Amino acid sequence: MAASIYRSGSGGTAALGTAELSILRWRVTPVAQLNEFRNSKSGPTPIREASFTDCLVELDLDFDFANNPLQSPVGIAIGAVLNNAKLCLHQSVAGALDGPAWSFTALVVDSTPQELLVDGKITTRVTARPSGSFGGPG
Amino acid sequence: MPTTDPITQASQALLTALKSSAAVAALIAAGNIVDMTSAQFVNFRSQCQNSDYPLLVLLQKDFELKPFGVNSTVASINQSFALLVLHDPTRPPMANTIKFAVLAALLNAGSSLGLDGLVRDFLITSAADDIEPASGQKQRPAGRWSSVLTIKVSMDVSRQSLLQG
Repeated sequence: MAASIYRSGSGGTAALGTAELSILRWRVTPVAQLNEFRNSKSGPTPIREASFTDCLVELDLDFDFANNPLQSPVGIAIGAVLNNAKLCLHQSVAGALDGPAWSFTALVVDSTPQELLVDGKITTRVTARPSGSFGGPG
Repeated sequence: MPTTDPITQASQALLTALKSSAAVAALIAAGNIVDMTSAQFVNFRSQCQNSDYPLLVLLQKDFELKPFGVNSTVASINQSFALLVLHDPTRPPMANTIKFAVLAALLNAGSSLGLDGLVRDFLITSAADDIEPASGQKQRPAGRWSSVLTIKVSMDVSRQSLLQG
């Protein structure tokens, strides 16, 4: 096993294609649908089998007044399809969009709640689910 | 890399806000507001006349440079400025009046101090009135009643713009 390397989240980001987003935080929750079998032969504990895989994606954006993320060209609106989404864990240099990353062929936007703190930030949370294939950091 | 230093921009924006405020102008003559970022700035006046008071000086204090800033696309700068007001020792101090005028002046400048895209926010973090010069302020003329307001300005600079330099 290789020597351990740990990094902070400061080199992380997210992008749609090559358009980098102003990320405050992102979270990916991959899940597998588990089918349960409880019958006269399964014994006292259920037998489970994984079938479909899915993922819940949350992006917290710093609202950019010069480039409203909810409007074109970024266009993160509810129901919108975001192609080629990439969530980077650590870039080699700012804006490079390289390094290990979660990648999604397409994300369908589920909700875009926005929160404002008068003595804090304006945060737009985007929740989305993948449509098609996705992969974790390689 | 940006051609203009953002910290100087913020300093000048604060001074512009103070100079353009009617409330401040009523208390402090424009010529008595000292710009330490100016090429003419040398030092505090060693011999002050009565007409020099109140004298307002904006000094740079603590700062924090965060290459990895508040979001994934920016580097962040937090710069504190100490705003000193020196008073005529022969007259009752106007500290509270001046503090209130400064608050109004900065509020009128808006949360970005007129520097949209650079200044995210600012706040007055701590303030003090004292009779003797505070420690670390050895250049201040002794024996004046001084007011100090600390203004912390939060700025964001695009990481991409810094990398291109």
